[in-house]
Amino acid sequence: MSLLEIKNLHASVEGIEILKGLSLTIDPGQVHSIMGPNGSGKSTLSRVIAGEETYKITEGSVLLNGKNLLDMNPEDRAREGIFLAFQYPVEIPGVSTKYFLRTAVNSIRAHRDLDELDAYGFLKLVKEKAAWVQLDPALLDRPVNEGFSGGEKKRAEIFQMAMLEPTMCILDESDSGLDIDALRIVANGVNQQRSPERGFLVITHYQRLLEYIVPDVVHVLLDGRIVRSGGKELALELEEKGYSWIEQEVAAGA
Amino acid sequence: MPHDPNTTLDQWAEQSDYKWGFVTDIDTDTLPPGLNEEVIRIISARKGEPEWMLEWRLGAFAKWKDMVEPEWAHWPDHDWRPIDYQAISYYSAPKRDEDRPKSLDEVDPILLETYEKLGIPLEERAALAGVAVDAVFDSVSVATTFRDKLAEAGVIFCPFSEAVQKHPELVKKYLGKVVSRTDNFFAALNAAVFTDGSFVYIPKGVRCPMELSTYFRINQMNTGQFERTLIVADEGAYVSYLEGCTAPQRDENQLHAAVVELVAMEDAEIKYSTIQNWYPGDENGVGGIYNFVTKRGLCSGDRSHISWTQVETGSAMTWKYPSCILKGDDSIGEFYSVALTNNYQQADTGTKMIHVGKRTHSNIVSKGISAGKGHNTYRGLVKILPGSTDSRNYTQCDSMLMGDECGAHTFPVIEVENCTAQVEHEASTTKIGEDQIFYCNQRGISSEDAVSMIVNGFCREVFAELPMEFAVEAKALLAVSLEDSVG
Amino acid sequence: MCIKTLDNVCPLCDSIDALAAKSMGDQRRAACERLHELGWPSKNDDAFKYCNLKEAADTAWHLGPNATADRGELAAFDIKGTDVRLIFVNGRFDAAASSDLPEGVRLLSPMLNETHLDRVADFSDDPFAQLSTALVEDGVLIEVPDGQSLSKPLHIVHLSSPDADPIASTLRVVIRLGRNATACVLESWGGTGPALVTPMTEVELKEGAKCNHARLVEHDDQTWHMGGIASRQAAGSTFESVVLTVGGRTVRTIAHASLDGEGAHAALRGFGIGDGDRHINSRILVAHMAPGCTSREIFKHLLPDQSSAAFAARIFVNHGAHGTDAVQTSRNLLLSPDAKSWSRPELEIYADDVKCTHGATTGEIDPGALFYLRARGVPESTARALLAWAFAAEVINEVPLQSLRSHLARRILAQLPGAEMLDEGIVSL
Repeated sequence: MSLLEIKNLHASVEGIEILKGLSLTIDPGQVHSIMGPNGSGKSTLSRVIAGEETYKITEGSVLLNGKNLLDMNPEDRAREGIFLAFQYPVEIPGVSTKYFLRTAVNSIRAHRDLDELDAYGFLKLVKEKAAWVQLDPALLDRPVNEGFSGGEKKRAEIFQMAMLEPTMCILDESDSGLDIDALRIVANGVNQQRSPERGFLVITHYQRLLEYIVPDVVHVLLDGRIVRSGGKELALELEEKGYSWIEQEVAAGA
Repeated sequence: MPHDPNTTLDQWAEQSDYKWGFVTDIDTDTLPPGLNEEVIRIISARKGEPEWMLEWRLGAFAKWKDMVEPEWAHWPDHDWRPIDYQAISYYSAPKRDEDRPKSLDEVDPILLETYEKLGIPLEERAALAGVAVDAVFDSVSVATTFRDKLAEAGVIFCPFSEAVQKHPELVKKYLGKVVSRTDNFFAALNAAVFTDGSFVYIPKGVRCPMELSTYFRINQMNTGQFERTLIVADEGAYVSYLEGCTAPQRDENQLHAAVVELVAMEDAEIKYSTIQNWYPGDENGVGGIYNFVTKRGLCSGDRSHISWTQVETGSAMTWKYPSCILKGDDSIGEFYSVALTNNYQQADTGTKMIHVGKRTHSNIVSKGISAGKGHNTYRGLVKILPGSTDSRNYTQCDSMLMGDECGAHTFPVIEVENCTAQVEHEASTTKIGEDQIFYCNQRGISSEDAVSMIVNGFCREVFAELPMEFAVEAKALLAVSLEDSVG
Repeated sequence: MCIKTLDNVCPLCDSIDALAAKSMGDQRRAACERLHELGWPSKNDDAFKYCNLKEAADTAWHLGPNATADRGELAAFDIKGTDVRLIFVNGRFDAAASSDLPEGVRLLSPMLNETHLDRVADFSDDPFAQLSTALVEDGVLIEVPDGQSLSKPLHIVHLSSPDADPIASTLRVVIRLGRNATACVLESWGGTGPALVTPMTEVELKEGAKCNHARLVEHDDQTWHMGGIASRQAAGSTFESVVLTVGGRTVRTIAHASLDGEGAHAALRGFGIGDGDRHINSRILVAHMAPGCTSREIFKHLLPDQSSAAFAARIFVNHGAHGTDAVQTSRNLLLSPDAKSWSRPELEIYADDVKCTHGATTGEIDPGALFYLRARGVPESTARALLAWAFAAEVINEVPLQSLRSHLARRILAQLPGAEMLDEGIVSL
């Protein structure tokens, strides 16, 4: 069975259709990448999968391990295994990252019929995973994302991913605003989490992240539809020629 | 942790089961409603008070008759029902008052059960380690725990009425010195009719070996509760004191007009914490306690320190401004407050910090949460007098609004009459962002838990000031689990 | 006609009767009656708690004599870049000293019976607003049609010039801008006392209009200046107003800004420097009535000698005024042991999706900064003056026109202790 199966997905916001019949299938263990110009619907796709309510689904389906995600609220999707690394992680003043994560971890564990982690087990896990993304554990005593630098926010997202052990990870422009060293750290953190059961959807504007997180399949998203899919070489081609040639080909084909 | 994925913000805000709304069926000795000199004489006689105490009460009553009820703070949504002072009974006591229990074994088992229901075990063995409890039921103190252990340390912790008998010199010396018997309308009323309360004296150099605490409970219908608390910390002494309050659910508004006086001598420190959970009225604003309380502390000696912490979740209407007079040089006053109003509740609370001595510091942190049709007002005064050189104040007032029909108001007054003072006031208003909820949801946390967590984060500076045991209760009262996000 | 005698105001009543016979009969009589009802404010009056008006209460006020402006005196009010100047003395127009009226600008005197006055805010609880209406003899009506602009900044100068008796005078400025119209209006208030002046400016802005307004208070130390500013704004309009106090005995300003249309923006600023026992008093209400409006208030005072400042301001956010973004700031620097400050920054909020913050600070000069300057060789007194200026600059830098900023710098430095070594070059933008 596929891990994530999206069929003919139509989504709109304030009456404007953003996704116009998108289909995509990701098998366990695969890394898919979605590339596309600004405004093509990349972020919308990630938020629709995670269940943000501002988007209205007018048609289509999204299945995770055969279960209909669209019927679930965001937390249940997360508990089922969806993780979205946000492009702009939100700040929550006054709530320490540790506390926040412990609440999240235990909510998800309860859903999976696992015992709550005790303080010791939790801290051990934190230490281990924080090292993956070279995250200063002192940051975790600060409020969620508050006062974090851009790079720290992105690393903290990947760290949270490691803590929550999702089955389907979506990275929304996790490379934006990162210098090359930070990018390597983030990519390394992701690669450590690759496994035969886990799927990844890497949304990015640029090819360079894909040098470090090598995708099995690259999709080009244009005006709310996937217009082309190919191997990792498609990313290189896009990098070289930009998106206009595909736009023209699509227009010609239409 | 409860997981109800369908709980929205508004629903969360509306959920408020008042678990403390039961009535205890118990024999009471209750005076008929009405207030006149005769009633005061009866109260005084029932208490077996000396003449000077009666005179003091009558003096207050004489003044009170000429005073006008204040009405500065109520907001449009609330159906304000004027208080008929003649319709209130000013004395209600469990019948056993004549032969007051000498020990807990003699306390009426029904009463013990009541406090058990409230989550306040009076049995010493079962009591939280390190906390001595004085329980005040309607107007009368019914049990004080750990008295022997405290007596060993020289600490006096007893019902006020007992202090009048046993320690008249101390009571005479300090009663009305911080809040005079004619300070304001409700303070004067209290001075005239107060029936009990707690009295604490910590002798020189003594660090009180345990937390002291008083639980107040209004049970009888149509009664008011007028307790009076006096805490004196002598030179170099330290005490941490907590009061908690509940009342049964009733359709009428009941009046609670307490007075608290604190005196801290040189190098003494008093930490006073309140968890106020009087019955707030129902979701339509019917019933609930009118909580009009005067609390004031005098930092009398140099380097003295008074700290007020309050968590106000109950009462239909609260007017309360625990204050500090910073008279001693280098003295410190603090005020930490969380006030939550829901449905038709109104909380008008804040503090006054009067800087008199040199190098005095005050710190104010106020967190107001408004939901439903609730109104939350911070009203405060920071005054630096001309002789108070090099003094400092920092004030932070934050409001959180949930929903569209509530209100959050901030009315500070800052008066600086000395150029070496540094005074800072900051205020902000926030709501819980849908993006914050979504972020939590995405990490598998239900909306309800997310709201709890965010509210707790909002209040953390205040909770951090509460004694550990009571911080837990406070958090539970805000329908939250906090654990290690504090501190 | 007096219901209750106001010893200091009643000498004016005959004059008010005489004025009422000529124009605005009902309005003047009603205002006078209301003034008597309200009575002369005392310290027990919450709105005047910090305002010492006792001396003004012991003074019998009269209507000022007809007078013309002294050219030499006028030169002190010159602000370059404002070639259009309208001069008023004791509330009456001095045509000889004034420029020609530009297009869109008219005198109010021939139109007093029309409904131009008191239409923007309800100041019925303020005795000085009543006095202003009862005594108004002239003023300026600025009407700019849709899409047009007042070509140059308009400078209105009002001088008080008493002879034997202490005088009361007033002037009304009415600004009405059409859709997307713009205007810049400066008012200078000066002259000698004993005088009681009650300036009142009313501003109505249609959609997208922009108005820049500054009021300079430069009286001598025998003048009580009790002014008002009322504004009402439609969607997308901008009102920026600043009151700059460098003179006067007691200077009080009440301002009501009503943000009625979506996305309107108001910035109300104030700067004042004390001198002797000058008292500067601001009482501000900013009402967010519609969604998406922004407001900024910043009031700063430098207080030497026995001077004092009081700031009472409220941000009101109406039900449904979502997306409100309001900031209110009051800062005072006490430069002498006898200086005092009082602040009441208030919020009254009935909507949840709002961002409201306020801050109030009072203190002395930062010792670290002082040390830094001294370590670089600046004498202590100069360093103090420099830091005091830096404190003021946040407001001064927002004042329209470079020439006005320089003018202010001269005035402020002249009153700032230790500023001898500093000059107007300190204004650097």
